[in-house]
Amino acid sequence: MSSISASESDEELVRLAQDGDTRAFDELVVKYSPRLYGLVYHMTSHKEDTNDLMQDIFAKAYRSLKRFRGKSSFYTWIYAIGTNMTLNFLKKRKRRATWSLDDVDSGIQNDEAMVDIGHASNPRHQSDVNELQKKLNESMQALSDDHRAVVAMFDIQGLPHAEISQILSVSEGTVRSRLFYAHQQLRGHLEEFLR
Amino acid sequence: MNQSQEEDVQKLIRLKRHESPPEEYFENFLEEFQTRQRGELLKQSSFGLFKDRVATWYREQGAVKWVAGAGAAYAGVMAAVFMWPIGNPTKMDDPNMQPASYQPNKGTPLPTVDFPKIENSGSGSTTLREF
Repeated sequence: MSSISASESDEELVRLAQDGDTRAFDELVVKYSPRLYGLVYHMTSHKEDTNDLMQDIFAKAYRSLKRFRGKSSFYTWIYAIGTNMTLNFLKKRKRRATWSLDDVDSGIQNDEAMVDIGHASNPRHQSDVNELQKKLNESMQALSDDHRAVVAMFDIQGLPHAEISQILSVSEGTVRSRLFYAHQQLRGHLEEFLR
Repeated sequence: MNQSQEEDVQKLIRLKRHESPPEEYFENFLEEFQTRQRGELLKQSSFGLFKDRVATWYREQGAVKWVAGAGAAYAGVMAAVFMWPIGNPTKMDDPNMQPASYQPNKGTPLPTVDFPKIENSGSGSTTLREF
């Protein structure tokens, strides 16, 4: 499916959903929830928080759908809602005394791709996949929320700079400088796996 | 940090792409979302639905909506001007109230008050006490 037909399809689904067709909105949920999950999860590093936030994001998108004018793609629009809601959530979570880095999930230690890449990059660390995953999560959590957002969107999700700048309402230069600074910090945290 | 070092960091971070929930998670997610969405729709009051329909109808109008909106605002302002009470409202049910122009008839004697007599046991005579 080409990107043009995909965007046409989105427009049609949005129009139908705006007219009250809940099944059309369900299709948008099915289409975008995996990608949105990736964004939210890599910003929160917490599965339950991610699930709650995803429900809230789609509920808010559904309520606000009539105000969506199509100036940007639906994808950019819902990503902007998701990013803003997640950043607000993270601010609140920081104020909660009960949350700590120990709550960060560990869910990929048995992922084949992760194990293979861990092995290929450095055989010495083959048995340290758990450690690598833990370290990756901790390094991500050590970044500021804004820096983590750009890393999640650019490095993990593969969004281009221009799209990230639109989602975050900042210039492309700001996106690039946040990325550079974030990579510097990550390099410091992940030094042992980079040798 | 040079470009190759930056690329190394990016390669490592990209490993996080493999962190994704199983397929069934998204099926359950949709079901959960639908349940929640229907619940919200049921909670919405009939007035809310009416308001929603009016808002949708209004949005669908072209330039007419601005004329209609201005007309409705003008009608509202005029209704408020004509219906607003001027000055303090007068209470008409007070039985002691007299109009400001009321003058008692000169032939009518003024009302008198009879004071009770006070006994003064010391002097033996009965007089009014002076204040």
